Amino acid sequence: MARPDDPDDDAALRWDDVDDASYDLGPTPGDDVDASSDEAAQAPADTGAASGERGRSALLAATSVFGGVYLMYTVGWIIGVAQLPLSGTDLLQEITYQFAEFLAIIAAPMWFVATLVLSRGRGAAHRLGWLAVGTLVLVPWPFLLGVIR
Amino acid sequence: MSEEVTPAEETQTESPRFGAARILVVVVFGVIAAWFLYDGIGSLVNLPQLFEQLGLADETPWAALWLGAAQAPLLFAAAAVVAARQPVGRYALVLIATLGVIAAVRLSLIAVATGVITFFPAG
Repeated sequence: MARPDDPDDDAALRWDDVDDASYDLGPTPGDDVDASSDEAAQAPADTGAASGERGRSALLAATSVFGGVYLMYTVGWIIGVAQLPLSGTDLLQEITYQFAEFLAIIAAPMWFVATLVLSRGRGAAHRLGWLAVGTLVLVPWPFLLGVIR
Repeated sequence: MSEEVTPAEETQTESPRFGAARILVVVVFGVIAAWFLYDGIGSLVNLPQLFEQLGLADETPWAALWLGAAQAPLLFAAAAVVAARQPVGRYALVLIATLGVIAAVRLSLIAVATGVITFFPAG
């Protein structure tokens, strides 16, 4: 910027005129308010994003734990149905009992999948609540009673 | 997995349609649930006589027998109502899971009832 009163030839190479409105003194107390307002506006967004990320991770971890429980339930049912003294008096009844045993074995994975599908877009409490209900309803009692004996 | 619900999915869940596919799903899975009801009633009628013949009339697991007869229609009806607003694919998924639950409860009750005989023999 040309300064008629100053014959300094190197003036263009320096930017040390504090009276120049474009001179950047760095952050000042007055500037801090403006700068921090931008940061303050950004901070809640960052905090919210981080909180959301933590929530998703916690939900994923809880869902994985439930997945392990349901997997153990499935194994328990596979072992448990073999211990049941079920036998039909005729072929039709035998087939229906076999089908019932098959349904009992797939009950845990089907409940898990159905809960995941139906809880899409809903709260974590909705998903975890239904998964918790499933762990109560689908306990493989034939296996547990066989172990107790 | 995305947690977002697309507008199309939202529309589907809010406006249930009782088309032929949904009726077919209810009828097919309803027949299976009805068999569990039939089997439960058969146990309710026949097992007490068997227990009596074995001299175990006092040990008859009445709670398990009544629960075995009632659980199939109750669970199936509850699932059909809860999932009524879902698209037919999800509706079928819920009913299959419910049939699994009905079978699991039925076999659990049988295990408990036969466990009664094993744990508490007459005498």
